[in-house]
Amino acid sequence: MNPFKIIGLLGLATTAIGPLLVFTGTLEVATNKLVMLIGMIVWFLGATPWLGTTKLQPSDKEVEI
Amino acid sequence: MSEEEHSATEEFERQPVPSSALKGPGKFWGMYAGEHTAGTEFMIGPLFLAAGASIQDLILGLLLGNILATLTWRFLVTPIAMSKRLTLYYQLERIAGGGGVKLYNFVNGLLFCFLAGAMVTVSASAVGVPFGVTFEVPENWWQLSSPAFTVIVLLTGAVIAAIASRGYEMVARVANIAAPWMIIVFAACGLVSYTIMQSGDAFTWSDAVAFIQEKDGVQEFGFWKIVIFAWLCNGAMHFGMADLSIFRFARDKSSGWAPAIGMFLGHYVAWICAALLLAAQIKLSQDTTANPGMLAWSAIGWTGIVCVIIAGWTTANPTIYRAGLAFQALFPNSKRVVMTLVAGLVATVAGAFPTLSGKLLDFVGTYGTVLGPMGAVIFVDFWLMKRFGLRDEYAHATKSFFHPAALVAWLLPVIVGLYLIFAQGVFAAYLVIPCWLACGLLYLVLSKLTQKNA
Repeated sequence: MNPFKIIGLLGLATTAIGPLLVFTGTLEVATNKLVMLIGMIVWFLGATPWLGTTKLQPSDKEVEI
Repeated sequence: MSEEEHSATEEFERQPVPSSALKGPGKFWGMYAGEHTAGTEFMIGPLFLAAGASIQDLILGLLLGNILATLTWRFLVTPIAMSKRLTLYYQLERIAGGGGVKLYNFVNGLLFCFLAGAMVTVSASAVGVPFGVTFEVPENWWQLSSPAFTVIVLLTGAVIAAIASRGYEMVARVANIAAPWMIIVFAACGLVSYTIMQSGDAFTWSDAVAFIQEKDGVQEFGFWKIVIFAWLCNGAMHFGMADLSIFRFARDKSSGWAPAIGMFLGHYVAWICAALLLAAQIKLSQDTTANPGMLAWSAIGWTGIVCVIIAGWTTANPTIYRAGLAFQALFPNSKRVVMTLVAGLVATVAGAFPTLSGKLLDFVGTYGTVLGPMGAVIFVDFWLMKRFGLRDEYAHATKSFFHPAALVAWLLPVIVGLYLIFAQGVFAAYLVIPCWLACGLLYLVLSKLTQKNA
């Protein structure tokens, strides 16, 4: 598996887990902000080389609301 | 040649998409998954709450409205797109002539600028948070916010316009990279906001609506208004046939169901989650301002700031780019870079007036009312002209530069619609379908008259 994809998915999972833990009452809102920040950084580190080179699609040039 | 070998620059702008370039349904589901989770969602969601919509009406109204929107894409746009395999603009040119399309192109470009302007405001709202700069939405359309916020809007708009002038590819890649993460971030906003509302003394959606109405006066945004808005906020894309440009690549009719994923992620989950941000803010600070940057910052911190900036930017960028192309079509000898910068300038100036983003529900409805009816011309030309003994694609068939039937049929209902919106205060989204029907009927009648005389 593409290592960048693994890194990206880990970042995405981190981004998702924080709010879920807030919802279940096991994480403070303030701590979640840090967890989501880390998740975001990891996501972009992995997703940029993973998804950044994929071919553009017809919708990329169109305007959607 | 495989579909992967067709780069984005090979767009078949003036020819039918060849079978070698067609894409399977999976591609369309992928495309639409991220398309409707955008900067507009951060504004529209909270505006439902601010307008007094109940949570029951919102959940059921959005459900029905999004189903209707999906059906419109599937049964109105996809059959014509797959049969003709041409862009909206080229089809219009074949019907109304190159001259006839110019005015439509200009109006389209101008509306794109205002939409981009609202997105510049959205991005600027997040840029301002670290500097302690927020904005209030003035009562008057032509009133600026604070000088500090206006400066941030101008700087943000300048950066976005400069990047757009270099093309759409780079930002489209950023949008593609950010899309899965943004969907998670929207859901996170909802989860965290709901938790904040439930913690301590529980604060419900109804409490938030009651607080806003006590402060700003009673407003109503009922079930059917929500249904109509959800159905027609993308009126320009489905009723207006702008998405012919996307579905002309469809190999299978089932691709026409793909907008469902955009609708239910963007115009359902994201709108409700963004609305919960405002409800949580009201509980925490009794602040009813729908400031996307501040709302996201309060709930999820820096991630929210980055998400709002990217959401606004990646929506504004292709919009300014498309506006630049529309303006360039008016002045064929002009440079695309210059026209994109002009579009960016108009968008930035528009963005400096926060009332535009504060009235996004009205603007989006107006956008559909103005651009949507032209789709009726395409519809009538495709389905009805031959049945009524008339010639379809009349300008192309007669090698005419200007065939007035389409333009007049479009302009008359739109002028009446704009009068009803701005002079009579009719909710803009209500007028999309009446104007569409009137345009289609007028086009048929005018074609009968003009083609007879031709």
